[in-house]
This record gives sequence, structure tokens and C-alpha cells, in this order.
Amino acid sequence: MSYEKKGVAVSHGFVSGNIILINQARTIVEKKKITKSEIYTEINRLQTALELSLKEISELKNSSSYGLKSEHIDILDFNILVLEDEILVSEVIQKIKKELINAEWALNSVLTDKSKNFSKVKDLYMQERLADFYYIAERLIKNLRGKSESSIEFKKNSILLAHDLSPLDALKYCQNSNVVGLIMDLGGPTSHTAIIARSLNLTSIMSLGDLSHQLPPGQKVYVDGYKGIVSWQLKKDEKEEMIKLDKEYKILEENLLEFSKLSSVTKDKFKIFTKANIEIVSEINSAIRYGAEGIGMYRTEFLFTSTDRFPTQDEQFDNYINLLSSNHFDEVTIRTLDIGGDKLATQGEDEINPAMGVRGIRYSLANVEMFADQIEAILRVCNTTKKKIKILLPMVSTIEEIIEANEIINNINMKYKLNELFEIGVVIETPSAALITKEISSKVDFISIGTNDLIQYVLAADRNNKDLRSIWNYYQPSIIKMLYNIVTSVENNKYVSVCGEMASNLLSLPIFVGLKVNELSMNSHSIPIIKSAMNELEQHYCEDVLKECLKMSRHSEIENYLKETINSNIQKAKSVIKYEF
Amino acid sequence: MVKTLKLINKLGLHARASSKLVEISNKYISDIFIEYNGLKVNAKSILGLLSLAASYGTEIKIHIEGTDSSDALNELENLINNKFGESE
Repeated sequence: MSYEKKGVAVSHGFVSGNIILINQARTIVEKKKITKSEIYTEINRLQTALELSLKEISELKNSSSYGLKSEHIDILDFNILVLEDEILVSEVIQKIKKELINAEWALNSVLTDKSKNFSKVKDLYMQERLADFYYIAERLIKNLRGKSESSIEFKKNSILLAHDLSPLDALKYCQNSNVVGLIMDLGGPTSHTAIIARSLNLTSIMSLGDLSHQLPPGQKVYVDGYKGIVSWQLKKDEKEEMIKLDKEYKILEENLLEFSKLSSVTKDKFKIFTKANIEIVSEINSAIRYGAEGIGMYRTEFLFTSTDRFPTQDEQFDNYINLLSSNHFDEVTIRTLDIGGDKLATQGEDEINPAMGVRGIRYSLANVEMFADQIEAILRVCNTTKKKIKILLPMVSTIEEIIEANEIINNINMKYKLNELFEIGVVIETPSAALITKEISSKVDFISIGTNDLIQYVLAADRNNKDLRSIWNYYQPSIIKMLYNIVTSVENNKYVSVCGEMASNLLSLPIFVGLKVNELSMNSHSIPIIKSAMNELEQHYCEDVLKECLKMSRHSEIENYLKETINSNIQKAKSVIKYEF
Repeated sequence: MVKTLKLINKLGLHARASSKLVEISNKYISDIFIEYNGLKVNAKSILGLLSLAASYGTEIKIHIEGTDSSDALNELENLINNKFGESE
């Protein structure tokens, strides 16, 4: 019998290979099959690790130098009792014997089961005992391994399967050239682990439910990172089907690479830059591969949240300078920190509604030192490289915010006196900013329309809410009108870019061409399709399409009309992206 | 042998109380189980006892089977009725 499981494709590609199962609660645990003759060895290892852990804790308890308080002693006693818990030990041993698995995995799964009981209990005290469990498990696993870090052996065509993998571990494991895919129970397209996978050009599917409990290590699987499907135990004809699919995808990739060389102009030679949104510097490689004409938005959140503290000015300098040192791009756009209380667990109290809380420029202006550091790091890079950087301010809703930010930036620039080398722009992503685009554009050098947030704020609909699918879409008349109003109220023909996923949406392309925006910035992989489609569109014709759309009052009407427009005008791009419809 | 007892110590079967219960149970060769809220766990397992999350004022059932069962029950009964030796 054959199986398949659907998740969310976060990094395109098609690979097949054998599963390497990795568990990372806090410690990485690998599931290994053992033979019957190894059972005794595994049990011995478990006993040794238990004894060693007990010894460590007893030593800690008896050493006066730590100045232990009675509550510490209680915690240590609790640890000792758990380690001496014969029921626990016998359950682990049973698991090793019955399932023929390594001691680490058996221990980890028994403890996970036990902790599930605890997490059901709504008692703070019990919840805290959970933390103790993890602590004990970690110590045991460390001792099971001895001193050496776990060495997972990656055979050729390994596909990593994890419940959840941290970005750092993903980086650690996935750089191994034998690893060809990463699939996970958790995570999604915007998770940092997904970004790492994309930057490494590693096929990846996430949100796969409980797949890590379903697949044994070593299982041969097919990972379709276009459709987001993992399949295994295939019959002969299904395997042949997969080989055919693999070929199709290879042709698709060839086509994309062909399209990536095109220049992004319309049939009647109207130029719109197609640039890449990136989140980590190494994503530049994939931007270059797919023909990006620049970095349209470098998001700095990953840089700020990947460790437990904010990066220093020097660390930021070292990071930003890499963007310009590849020599592929003469200018880049850096978005200042777009972060809110929801992403910074360590900062203050929880906000009731983080999407409308202290985030983006609001956060930066409330933490001026941090903001000044970021700006100075950027200006220092301009000063050193003599290349242009466009600074993009997120989540602006009032003119005062722009004035305040400008003042801070200009003050810092007094030291460097960089005149033409940097520009300041604003992300138009709140309805307020959209309504005062005219005033905003008179105060800055360029604007960028942040479609993701703008759409959700204008429609008052969360894009992730499945029940609001009929409301949240790109083709709502209010969205088209909003875009039209923004672009037509920009003063003095200042530069307008569009970032956010709508910029990569093929059906929306005639709208943006009709609006004569200057730049579309999107995920690298979408650039070839958009370039190719643009080549087949006429700017003047798109202006008419836009006019028609502005007359329509229902989103389904607009969507159908745009579908027709694409169907009758676009040939090349349409033939290769059938999988996306 | 089965006996129902009420937890009269303030914190119920929390870590320290459970530790004492395990300590005493381990002294006897009898099989000792604690039943609470439909769950029955081995009294010689701290993890089992804690997962009951039995709180103040609730009743637990002690099941004891073995040659030294009456001594074990005696000592456990004393422990629980003396509020596990807690001051409060």
C-alpha cells in the first residue's frame, strides 16, 4: 500500500531519498534501529548513563561551594528520585526491547509521554515540574552519548525528518552535501528554518502533522517540494509516475533559469525592476540564480532575533556589508527592524493585539538607541563601500513618525555627510499611510507598498484565518482602488516599489504594470515567471485592464477578468506554472 | 487490601509529598498502587504519583498486595494523616 501526506511546500524542488529522523525538543535525539544482539548493549548504556547522572547530581548536592539553598536541594532530590524511578527505567528498557531502538530515543519518548500527562494538568506547580523533566532528560541524553557531540551519519540522498528543527540546527545539518531535503511536522513558509532551507536551495515541506511519528528511519520517500507532498511505499507504476514528474520539474527548473536571463520590460519597452526579498545574506545566491535585478528588501528581523540579544553596531556592519560585497548589486534596500512585542518574548509584557501594537517604526522610535545603532551601521556601510543603500521604514502610520525618524537619521549622517549615497523610504502598509501617501511621499525619497499587511488591515481580515478566505484576497475592489489611490497620489513621480506576496502573483501583474510601478520585489523563485510574463504584456493594454478592474464591484468579477487577461496574453509563463494553479 | 484516605496537607501530592510516599513504598516488597480520579499508578514511581496531580481535600485509594501489606499500609496511613510531616 502506498501513502502520501500533504503539507506546505516552503522550498521548491523534487527529491527522493532515505529518512534520517531527528528529534529536537531541546536536545537532538536520533532514532536508530538496533538488532536483537544490541539490546543488552543499549540497556547497559542506559544504566551507565543513569548512574553517571545520579553521581553528578549527588556531587552537586554535596558540594558546599555552590551555596545551595533548601529549595535547590529539593529540586536535586526530585531529580534523584526521577533517576531512581524503577518504573521509568523498566518502561524504557521495555521500549528498547520491544521496538528495537536506541536508548536515547526510547528514553526520550517515554519522558515525552509522561510529560504529556503533566501538561494536561492546569496547575502551575506541575507545569514547572515539566521543565525539570526536560532538564533530567537532557542530562541523561548527554551522558548516554558520552563526551562527543552526536555524530549523525548522513548517507547519500538523506532526507531529514524532524518534529521541529531550530534554524541553527537546520544550518548545522543541512549544509552537509548528502542532505537533499528537509521535512517537518511544524513550521511554515515564513519560519526561519524555511528561510534557511530556501537559502541552501534545499527542497523542504513543513506543517506535515505527525509525520515524524509515522515514518521509520531509513524509509525511502519522495518529496515533491512544489505540491508539498511526501509519499512512500509506492507501487511500481507510482514510482514510474514519480520519475516522470521529476523530469517535468527538471524541465520547469530549466525554463525558470532560461526566463531568469530575460530583462524585465513590457512588450512596449516599459521598464519595471524585478528584485528579491531576502532575509539572510546567503539568499543572495538564489536571488542571482533566478535573475533578480537587485535586493528590493533585506528584512533584518532574522539578524535581530537569531540570538538571545540584539546584534551590536559592528555585527550589523559586518552583516550589511556582505550584501554589497557580492558585486552583483550596486544598491540594496534594507528594511529597519520590523518587530513587535509578539516576537520578542523577553521584552516586557504581552500585548493583547500585537498586530496593532508597538511594532516596526513604533518599536524603533521607542528604542532609539537600538534604532540609531541600526542606522549608523547602515551609513557606515555606505561610507565604506561608496554604494547606495535605501533605508525602508516599516509600519508607519503618521507624518510625525517620519519626521522623528528623519531627524535621527540626519543627525547620525552629520558625522558621515553622505549625500546621494542613501535614501529614505516608507512602507505603505497601514490604511492611514495609504490615505496620506501624498504627504508621506513629500517627506521621503521613495515608497514601497507592503501588500501583505496592507491587505489584512484594509479588509480587517487575517490572511491565516481559513474562515475568511472569501474576504482575504488580492482581487477585492477595495484593494485595487487602494493601490490606485496610493500610486496616483505619490508626489513628483517618486519611485514606487511593491513588496509582499502580491508582487509575485501572476494574476495581479497587469494591475501593477497598468499602475506603472517602478519595482516589484518578491521571493527569488517567482522572478523568472514574472519577467517572462511581463515580456508578453503591453503597458498600454494593462492600463485599460486596470481601468476595467476599477469599474468592477465584485472580487470574483475582477479575478475572472484577470484570469482571462492572463490566459489570452501570456503563453510562455503559463505553460510552466500549471502546478501553482 | 484497599483503603481510601483523604489528603489533608495543603499542597496535596506535590513533589515533596510524593517523594516521601515513594520512599516509604520502596521499603516494602508488596505491590502498592494509588488510585485517583480514574487513574491507578505505581506508588514506587515518582513520575506516576506526580501525574495524578491529586490536590488538597481529595480522596485517594491505596491498593496493597503482598506479605508485608499491613505494615506498609500502616506507615502510609500515618504519613498521609500526619500531613506528610509538613508544618502547615
